[in-house]
Amino acid sequence: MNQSQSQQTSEGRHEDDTALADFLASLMDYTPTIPDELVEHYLGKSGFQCPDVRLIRLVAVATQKFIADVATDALQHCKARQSAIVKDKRDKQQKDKRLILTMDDLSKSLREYGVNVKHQEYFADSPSAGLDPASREE
Amino acid sequence: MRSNRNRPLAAIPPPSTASTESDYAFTLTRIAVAQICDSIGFTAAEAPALRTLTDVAVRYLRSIAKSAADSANSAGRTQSQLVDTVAAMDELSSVSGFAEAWRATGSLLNSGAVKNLVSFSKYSEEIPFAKPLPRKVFSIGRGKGLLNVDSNEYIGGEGKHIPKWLPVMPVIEKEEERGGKRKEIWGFCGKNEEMGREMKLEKKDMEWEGKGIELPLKRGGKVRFKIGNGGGVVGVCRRGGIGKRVLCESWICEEQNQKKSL
Repeated sequence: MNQSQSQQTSEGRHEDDTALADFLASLMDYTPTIPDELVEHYLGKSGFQCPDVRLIRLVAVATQKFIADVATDALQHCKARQSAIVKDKRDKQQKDKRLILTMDDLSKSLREYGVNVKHQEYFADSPSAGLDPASREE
Repeated sequence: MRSNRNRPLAAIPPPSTASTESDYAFTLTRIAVAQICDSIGFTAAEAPALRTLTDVAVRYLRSIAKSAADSANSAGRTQSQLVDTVAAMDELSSVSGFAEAWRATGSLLNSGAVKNLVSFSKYSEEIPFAKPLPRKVFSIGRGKGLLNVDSNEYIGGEGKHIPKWLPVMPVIEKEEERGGKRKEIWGFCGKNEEMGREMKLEKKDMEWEGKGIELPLKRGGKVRFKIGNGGGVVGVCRRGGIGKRVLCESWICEEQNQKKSL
């Protein structure tokens, strides 16, 4: 019984290993948005030494995924806020439907990933900063 | 990216990391992050928000690298491996909880972070970087030597790997073999003194040979050196306490004394 279990687990491991090897091999064809040279630069600065390009690609993909997740969350926050504005003022057609990455949305989404972003309340990063979204419309 | 035309440039605070990091790398990362945001669906981004996100990306990269390097170092390796990288990624994604405990099962692919990456790379579209980058850095241990490195910065010939800004290697002069011993003198380390010392040593050799005294090849018993008056025969004198050795003209062993007494 134990032997069969161990055989199954070893087979499972073998499959996992081959799947992992396939994934790493597929990384050679995948072009991450963050270029290899840049990743290499930052990795080298932190003492990461690795001759394998696949690992550098892996780190690049991981970073890309992290940023994409954060940005997706921020986009959802942005959409939710815009739909709330539209709900408040149905009679008014929303002029600006552009999706803009703002500090508020970003800090909300980053908080879910354990990054606490705080910027001064009085810091005017844009002419309409500090105003209500409703008054921003006007 | 919304342009801040209305504001004076001086009002824009310097980026937080750009002061410590190289501006070039930070700017490149910002472009890459902007591309990612564009692919997600954003049409524009505020400059501070984009800068913050870039800062987070850089910190993410560096913390992965640091964690992986630490993991490799604690395992007694200098180069990081897949295990270290996956462990580092797992550690960083632990904020959202461990999806799978890969350490328990022993398989790397059971890691939730890796599984997410597999699906991400499979289903997300590739967005290559805006422009190809020139590779100016060394490829670390890739075995191919230097890749596309500017050849003007390096010495040609045998010393291809030596940059020009390094000082010239000291010249090693090989002298003629003396007494079956090959001696090499470094170019910059007091050649005259060395020569003088060698001359003295050679004189001593000559004196010893003239007197016909030789060291026994095999030292059978204890060899004692007499201190002080050796009857004009005994050799190494120790004067002025321990550590100072003064070579006298001749020397003798206790064994020879014994022989004489016999």
